[in-house]
Amino acid sequence: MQDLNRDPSEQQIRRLEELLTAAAEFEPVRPAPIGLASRALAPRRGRPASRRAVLGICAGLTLAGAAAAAALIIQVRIAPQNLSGEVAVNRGAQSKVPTALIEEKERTIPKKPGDSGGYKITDAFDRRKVDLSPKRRRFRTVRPHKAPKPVIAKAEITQEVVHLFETGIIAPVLIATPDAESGATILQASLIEIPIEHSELVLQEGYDSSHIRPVRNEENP
Amino acid sequence: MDESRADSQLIERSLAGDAGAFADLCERHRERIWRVVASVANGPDADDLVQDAVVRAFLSLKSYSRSAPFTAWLSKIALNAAHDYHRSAWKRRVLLSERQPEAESGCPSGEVERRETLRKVREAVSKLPEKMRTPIWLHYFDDFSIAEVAELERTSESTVRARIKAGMNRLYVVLQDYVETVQETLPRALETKQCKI
Repeated sequence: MQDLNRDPSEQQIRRLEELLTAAAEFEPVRPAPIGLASRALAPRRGRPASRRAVLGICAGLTLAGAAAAAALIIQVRIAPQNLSGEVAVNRGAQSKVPTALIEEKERTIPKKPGDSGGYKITDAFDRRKVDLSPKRRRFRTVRPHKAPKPVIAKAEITQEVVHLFETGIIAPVLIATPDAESGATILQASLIEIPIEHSELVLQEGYDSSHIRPVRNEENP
Repeated sequence: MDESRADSQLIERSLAGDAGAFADLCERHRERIWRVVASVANGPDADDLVQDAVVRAFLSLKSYSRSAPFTAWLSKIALNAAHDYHRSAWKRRVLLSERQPEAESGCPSGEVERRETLRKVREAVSKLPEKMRTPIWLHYFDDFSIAEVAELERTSESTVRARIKAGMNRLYVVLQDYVETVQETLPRALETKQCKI
């Protein structure tokens, strides 16, 4: 086996040089196209003035609409719900202060037993190891909310084994066989033994059931 | 001498920011760029690659030192563009159908094979690392001397020789099969000039 890490010999290098010299004579099939450099450095055409004007108007209208929507949203969010509520504040003094603001001021945060009162890191967000792809595990800020575990839908399956027994009862029947060529149905008189299910097998007391044998087939082994 | 003087004037105007002068300069040397680009790409990709090389050269014109030949500098930039084309996501992800218009040209199939061999040799050189491919390409394919290459690379001649040797060792691994059959390929390869299309 040849060692690939071994440096080539002088003769092999000389052959390689010959190959490179031959490759210097390579001529492209297609001649060099004229004007490619000029086209590459040609200044790009700007948009016409009319199109610029239309684009400007559209952009202005879009910005105005966005600003109006933002202003409306802010106004709705900061407006108090009950502006006319009169409540007692500061030793019963009467003043028109929005009820919502007073409630917010007077609300006390219930203290948990064992809580020292220091700062507590909110658990609104949580840094968790997220496995995005193999070897690219990152700690990402994710919501601590856990999705409910998927529940595998279970289907109830009832298994029933039907035992058929030979009864020894022979009955004359007409076996109907469809004829593929003519399309007609051929009726043929025959005798078959009638099997019955185990549940239907009601034996009288003292009945000799030695001749009753279970039917052996693939569906009812 | 007239050509070099015209080149010098165009280079001066290009350095002053005249894109038209630089386009004229590249048009004068379009054959050299085309030979680099056609070794690695064909069809519309080759046209795009030429334009990419021209734009790159224009943007990095200030890095050109006038002591080195302009054609060598231009070839180096085209070579870098060709190398990047090899590594581009487009080239790697899209299975390009290799057209072989040579077969329609009337040349015998043996000539087509030899031409393809020569193209693969040039392509193998263009895939080498930058420090190796530029000296090998300029020295063997564009007939620049070691001193001129060293001037372009802003290094010593001994360094250029060492890089060429290292590149040859790498090339041998890639082109081993071709080197073994060079005795059969070479005489006919030189005949391909007669079958120029």
